[in-house]
Amino acid sequence: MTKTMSATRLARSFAAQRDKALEDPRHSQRSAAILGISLGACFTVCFLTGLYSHFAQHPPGWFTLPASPTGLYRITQGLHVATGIAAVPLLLAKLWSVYPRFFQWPIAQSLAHLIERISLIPLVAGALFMLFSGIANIDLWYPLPLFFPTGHYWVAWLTIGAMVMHIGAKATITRQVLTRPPAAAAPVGGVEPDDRIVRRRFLTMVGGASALLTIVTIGQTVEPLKELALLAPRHPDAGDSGFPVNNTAAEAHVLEQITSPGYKLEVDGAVATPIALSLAELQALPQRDAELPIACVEGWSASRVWRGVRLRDLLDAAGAAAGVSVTVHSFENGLYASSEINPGQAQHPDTLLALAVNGAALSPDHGYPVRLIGPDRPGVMQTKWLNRIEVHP
Amino acid sequence: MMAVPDDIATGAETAADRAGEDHSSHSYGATFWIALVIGWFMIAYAVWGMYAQKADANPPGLLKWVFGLALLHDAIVAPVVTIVGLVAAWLLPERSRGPIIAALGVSVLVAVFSIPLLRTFGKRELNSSTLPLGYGRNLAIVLAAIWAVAAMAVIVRTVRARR
Repeated sequence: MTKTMSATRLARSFAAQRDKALEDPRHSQRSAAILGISLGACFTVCFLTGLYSHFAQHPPGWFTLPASPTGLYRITQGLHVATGIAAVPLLLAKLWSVYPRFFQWPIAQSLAHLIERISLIPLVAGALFMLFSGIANIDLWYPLPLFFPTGHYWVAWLTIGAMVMHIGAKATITRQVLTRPPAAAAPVGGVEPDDRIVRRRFLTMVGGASALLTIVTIGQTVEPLKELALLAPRHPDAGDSGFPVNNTAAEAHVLEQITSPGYKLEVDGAVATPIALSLAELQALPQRDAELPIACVEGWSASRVWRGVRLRDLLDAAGAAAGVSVTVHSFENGLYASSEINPGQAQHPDTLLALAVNGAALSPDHGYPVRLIGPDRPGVMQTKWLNRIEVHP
Repeated sequence: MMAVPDDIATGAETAADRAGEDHSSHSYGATFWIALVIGWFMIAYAVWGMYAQKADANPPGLLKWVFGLALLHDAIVAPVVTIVGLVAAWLLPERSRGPIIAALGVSVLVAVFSIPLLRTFGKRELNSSTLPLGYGRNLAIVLAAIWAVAAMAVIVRTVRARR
């Protein structure tokens, strides 16, 4: 009997604490709405830029990876990672802001309300997973028992689906709380600051935290800000030849093959005359320069001046038809052993079989003797250590 | 004729709005139901995709992480943050309370964000471009900047209060 009474008292006091917290402007619907809109914008940017990378790497029939603008992949993926990082404080603040509502009792007032609350489970779980897995991935840390791109991609659909439902449930109330004037000023002479000031300070802190994380990481892709990239997992100047390497020659186990004296680059498939060129023969062909970024899906990039043979010149030399697509093959094994080049990219004057970068021959880690470099391509599709160019009919 | 309370007449935010009981069924219009169908369709597509690529996505492991992280947040992180916030608010003098709690929150966030960098989980011996920076020193710089801003905020408030 006494136990039941004290449990009831405890529940009442908990409910009173919850209601008191909800009186705080930082837990108000206005704060939740502002944070929700910011977060919704970030997640939309992340989703669209993520889809772009997904389509670039696994093009569906209706999609053709464009060759220009040159820096499109760099910008979209820099934005993807930067926006994801900026969303971390927003998500945590949003969850903190609405946390007292988690303890609403009864759980739901109507069937629609129950459905709305159930839909929050995939939303919160998915959002936390997307940011955690994304940040672990850019830190090259793989604690998850799965292949990161696949898991991150499908949970993105789950999260955005839940976000669509949440927007549907909250659109009306969000419009209402944002279009009416905020609460009246504090009592005259009161020591407690005005609600608006409390809310503004809270939102300023959250925005400040987002800005801070952005500033200390975005220099990994925005080169003028590289000195501020204190907590970035990559630095545009750090690495062999002064820029980052995704996978080194030693890691890819290609050192022996790329330094073989009998090296030849073969051009075959749908060509009039299959050819095989040594490095010296490639160097003897007309050389072109192109300033192109190497841009990783992990949000780092570095722009460098590359020198080499135009892919289209080599295709012409082998007598390939106009408008062919091409697969370039590497000595490397595994997932990124080859990549596809669509006709538009293959014909682009900046798509090079690069032999040098920044005035020096390619180092083994950057793809010696020959690598592909082309505009608007994911870093993993700028295939290194080439041995064969296969032309498709 | 019924008297209309001032806050409703002016459309101003009320205490009840702040408490936010938005469960009345009138707020669930066509938008809600349409978004619900689209949203659950996308979720169904996600689950289908995970199982269609289950060798890579490992759905049981994946879903354990997805819901595990939510549980970790709701059952541990949020209560701990709430309690620490309440204790800090109770201990700290009013003028410095806001800036110190804010600096504490942002510092913990930045420190947790830096854990994989500090512990160099992703450092690869054969690749010097992975995690190339001195993250301990850099984190110290960032934390110093956060607390410098907080200290400035306390000073500004103190000076303003004296005027």
